[in-house]
Amino acid sequence: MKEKIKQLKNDFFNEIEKISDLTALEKIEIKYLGRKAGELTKILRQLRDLPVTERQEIGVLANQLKKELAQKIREVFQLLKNQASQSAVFDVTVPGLKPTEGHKHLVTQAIEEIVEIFERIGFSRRRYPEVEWEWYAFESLNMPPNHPARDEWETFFIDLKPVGPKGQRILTPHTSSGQVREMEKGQLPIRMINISKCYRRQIDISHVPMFHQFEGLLIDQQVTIADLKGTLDYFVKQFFGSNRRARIRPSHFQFTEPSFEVDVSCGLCDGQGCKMCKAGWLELGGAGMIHPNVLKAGKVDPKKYSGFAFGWGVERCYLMKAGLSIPDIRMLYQNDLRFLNQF
Amino acid sequence: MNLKISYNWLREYFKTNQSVTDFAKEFSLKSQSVEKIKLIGQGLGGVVVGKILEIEKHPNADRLSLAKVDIGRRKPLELIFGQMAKVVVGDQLPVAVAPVKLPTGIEVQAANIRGVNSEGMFCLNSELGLSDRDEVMFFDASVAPGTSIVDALKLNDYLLEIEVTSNRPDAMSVVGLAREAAAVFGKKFLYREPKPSLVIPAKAGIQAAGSPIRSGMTKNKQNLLLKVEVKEPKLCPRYQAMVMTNVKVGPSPLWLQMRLILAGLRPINNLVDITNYVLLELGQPLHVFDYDKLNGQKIIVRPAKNGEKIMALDGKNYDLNENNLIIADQQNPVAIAGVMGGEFSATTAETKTIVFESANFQPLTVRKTTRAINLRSESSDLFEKGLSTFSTKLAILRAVELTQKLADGEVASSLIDLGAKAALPTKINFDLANVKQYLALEIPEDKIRKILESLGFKVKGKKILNLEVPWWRANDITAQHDIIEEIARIYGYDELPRTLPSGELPGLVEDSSFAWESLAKNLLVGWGFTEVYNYSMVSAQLLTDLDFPVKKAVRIANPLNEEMAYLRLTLLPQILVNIKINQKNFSRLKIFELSHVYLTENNKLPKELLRLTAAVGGGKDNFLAVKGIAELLLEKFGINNYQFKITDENCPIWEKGKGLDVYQENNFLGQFGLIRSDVLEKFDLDFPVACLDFDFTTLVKLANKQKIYVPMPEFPDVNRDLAIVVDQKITWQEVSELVNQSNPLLEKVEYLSTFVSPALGENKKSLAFRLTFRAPDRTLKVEEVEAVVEKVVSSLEKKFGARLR
Repeated sequence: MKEKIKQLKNDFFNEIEKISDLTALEKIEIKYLGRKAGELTKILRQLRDLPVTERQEIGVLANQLKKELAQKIREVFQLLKNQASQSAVFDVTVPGLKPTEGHKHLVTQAIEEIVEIFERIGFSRRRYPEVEWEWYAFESLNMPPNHPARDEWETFFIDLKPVGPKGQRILTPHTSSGQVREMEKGQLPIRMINISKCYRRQIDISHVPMFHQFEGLLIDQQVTIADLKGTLDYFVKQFFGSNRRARIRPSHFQFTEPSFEVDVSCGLCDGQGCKMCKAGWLELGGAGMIHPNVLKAGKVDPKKYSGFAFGWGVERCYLMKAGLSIPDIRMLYQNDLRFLNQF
Repeated sequence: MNLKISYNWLREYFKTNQSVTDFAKEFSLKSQSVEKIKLIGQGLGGVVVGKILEIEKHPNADRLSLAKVDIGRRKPLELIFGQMAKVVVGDQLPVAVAPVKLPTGIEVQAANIRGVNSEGMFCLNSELGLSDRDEVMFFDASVAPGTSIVDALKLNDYLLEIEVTSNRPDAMSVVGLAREAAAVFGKKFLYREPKPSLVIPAKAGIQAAGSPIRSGMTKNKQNLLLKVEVKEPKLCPRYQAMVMTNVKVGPSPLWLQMRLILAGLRPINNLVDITNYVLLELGQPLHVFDYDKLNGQKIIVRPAKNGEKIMALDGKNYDLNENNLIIADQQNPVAIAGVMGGEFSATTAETKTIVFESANFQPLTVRKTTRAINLRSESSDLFEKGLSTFSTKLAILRAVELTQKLADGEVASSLIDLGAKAALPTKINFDLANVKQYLALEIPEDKIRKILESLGFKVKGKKILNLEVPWWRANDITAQHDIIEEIARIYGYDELPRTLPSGELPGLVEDSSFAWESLAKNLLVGWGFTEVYNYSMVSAQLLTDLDFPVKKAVRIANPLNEEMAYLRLTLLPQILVNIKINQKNFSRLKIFELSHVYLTENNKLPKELLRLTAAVGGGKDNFLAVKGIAELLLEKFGINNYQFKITDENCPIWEKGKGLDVYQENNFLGQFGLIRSDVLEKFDLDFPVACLDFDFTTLVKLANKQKIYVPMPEFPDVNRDLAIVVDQKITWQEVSELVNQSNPLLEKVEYLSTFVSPALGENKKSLAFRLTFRAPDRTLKVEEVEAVVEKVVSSLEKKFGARLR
């Protein structure tokens, strides 16, 4: 048996010296190490028929040889491969082998970016119901039943009876419905960011019945309009670019007083005014100092605490930032991979 | 609400030399937003007033006529015109003299139409860009032919479109905006209240109606000629009326018509135009009735009776009911309160005596009526915002003043005035310390005082100011925070500093589900999946397609359409639809969605649960692909002791025997497997699809961030690969479990491959796997390993009749 092993080894090394291509190398590998009928495999298989005394010695020899052969085959393989690639024309212009990549939806990308920016200044994200009581979406926000301001939201109602003072169940038309829920937790100060699906009864080239808003809420002692201005400016610079500026203008919302419209300076003309903007500015969304009635609804003492809130559309903001001229906002929710895979 | 007003008109009440763009910029930052600026007269230089001298039929075209028009030149202009408006000889109207290009883009060229020359064009207001209406502006004889219409209509002006926020109905007028502008620019507010003569001329009433006309509510007079009764004082807090007689109905002067046209209103006659003009000027709607058409010379403000009808000024009939507040005469409705007047009592060319109504209606009742009958107007838009009861008087006096001036009207009654008169002004004590506290900035006291006074506040006191709120702001200014806003905006938000909020660290930490959500998305995207977002709303059909119980779904009472009538209970059907729409473009699809599903609850909000659904379609080995995803995901979530169990074979989603439930102890985590072929057919899918559908909320509950350190082994391992031939029905799980029990030296068993070939025998397969042996305290000897291998082989032989290949 020992002899046989020795012979095998000699044969192998003789043969392998002569070959010059990978096909021949493969043949040799099969001949000696093939799983079914390799010469060495056969020997290894016969081991258990040997008397115990011999088995150990031969076993070690055979296994050693197996390793040796495998090692040699690897070496020759590398050698031949290198020769092959040297002789063939090495074309560096052939496309690289890219790993298969997936794609996050644009909305997820926007949300992650926004969250990251606000987390850096101490805001943390919250989750509130998408199906909400009217009380949280309107009444607690200083909009009593029948208030005309309620008409500004094209609200979807749930087909169930109203329940006491909480009113009807609705698909929340804005993330502001989280404000009083956050206050009710009774933990002050508050720095929360709420990004959620919102729903309004409209669908056309620039409206989808389901969209996303992000809402910031800060409540503390001695919060000033200057704090809101600073926070908005910080966000605008982080999100849109360091050369951009935010400004606030008077506006009106029932749940803030004063209320503001927030603008960001146009990135194309730097606030000078061009075709893409309104006199140098682009409208971002609403903001304001929280109305004392809203603080009261959340059981926060308006004499001690004040705060600000802002809430804007995620899709709108992101498309503005990316400068993506997507002709129809509904494309975001049609899930055509030819679209989604671009981002 | 967007208002269109003339910049020149606005400037009658505050003097400024500012350019219109500077005005707009500053005004938008401190008051209301100027949305658009339009230069009105631009491009109208070539349009002049023409007087029609002759009209003839076109000899060769039925629908055309030709006119000779005096445009102040020696030779009259010849032009051809169609049938857009009725004109007669003597009319004076705008003529575009060829060649000219109008601001609307219309080019007027000299032409020869079927043998006749045309050197110009009669212009409609819409063609001149003055309004959207196809109407003709006629000039009276005071305008000489040939006068440029820019001069005739004083068109060197800008039209501003200003968006006024809903809390500021007081600024929804020229005077209201001018008051704001005066405050913003620190200029004097030049408005003066109307002071018409209210003396009733001795014979005015007799001439008009054959009997003296007197005020209805004056106690000492017997023959009340106009009696006003308000039956619902809550819905109509104030009603003022006045009778005027001997009015001469005719067109309004051009300057007035022009202001209405630019605001988007239509000139009718001088009386109606006066009410609309006052509405624009003061923001208080008025109505004018023909006195002689009011049955019984009575005005009753009351709810409509069920079944009553009215034909409104828009020419349409409206059915009324007890929820609609109306103005009625002795018998019939004559106006829908605050919304629109009735056709029957409207003024006509024959009208001699009129009643002006200047009233205040409760916003809610107006709002309900406009919604119920689906009719809105400039009036109802204002009433819905909530107007002050104080503005009725100014408005009616202004109407009287204008009627005296423009229609020769004479006052024929005293001013009838029912309802609220003496509401006390709102008083607010304002602590000046608030300014620094909210604005992070000191503003000098006299500056603050000046700002507030410019807005109409009466200011007394020091440090703590005693403020009296002007009546026109009584609805929107109620407390200190409102005063802060007034000071801050007029001072300028731009002047305030920018700071980042300081203060204590908030106590609440973030919900951990966000981190897990983001981990799952990152992993799936890394594994080549594309994320989709579907609407939360689905059709009942989409739910029943996969046998989900529609009863458990939340139903929307007012869905956009039946396709979006329910909130989804599952993400699966839409994922299948996503595959369907993409299958023609991709041979292999890997998609996922992580979103809420909604389960209805009786008296509570629905349960909102996160679900993660992923699908692999096209290509080979879809099942193993999702199984691998499931396993790796669970591993990454730190969930180890899970089990897979074959799903109930009656499940309508998964192919029989090819769907697995995932459990961790008693927690159901979800399912994965191959989608049933009848489902594929139902969804029109061309290739096999495997899905994974996890209850992400539960997954997050069980997830574990804990990492475990295992010391690296000290001694080397030994590997042995085996291939055995067994019956095809023997599963890998059975084999591996048996092998695993064999010996403590066996560290792990790894599956390598399955191979099926007739050469193996009928119903046989070859299973290849790798055994790894290791001892914790020594290097293994070959014999030890061989001995275990032998044992393994023989036990496989015994249990499954396996043989080595």
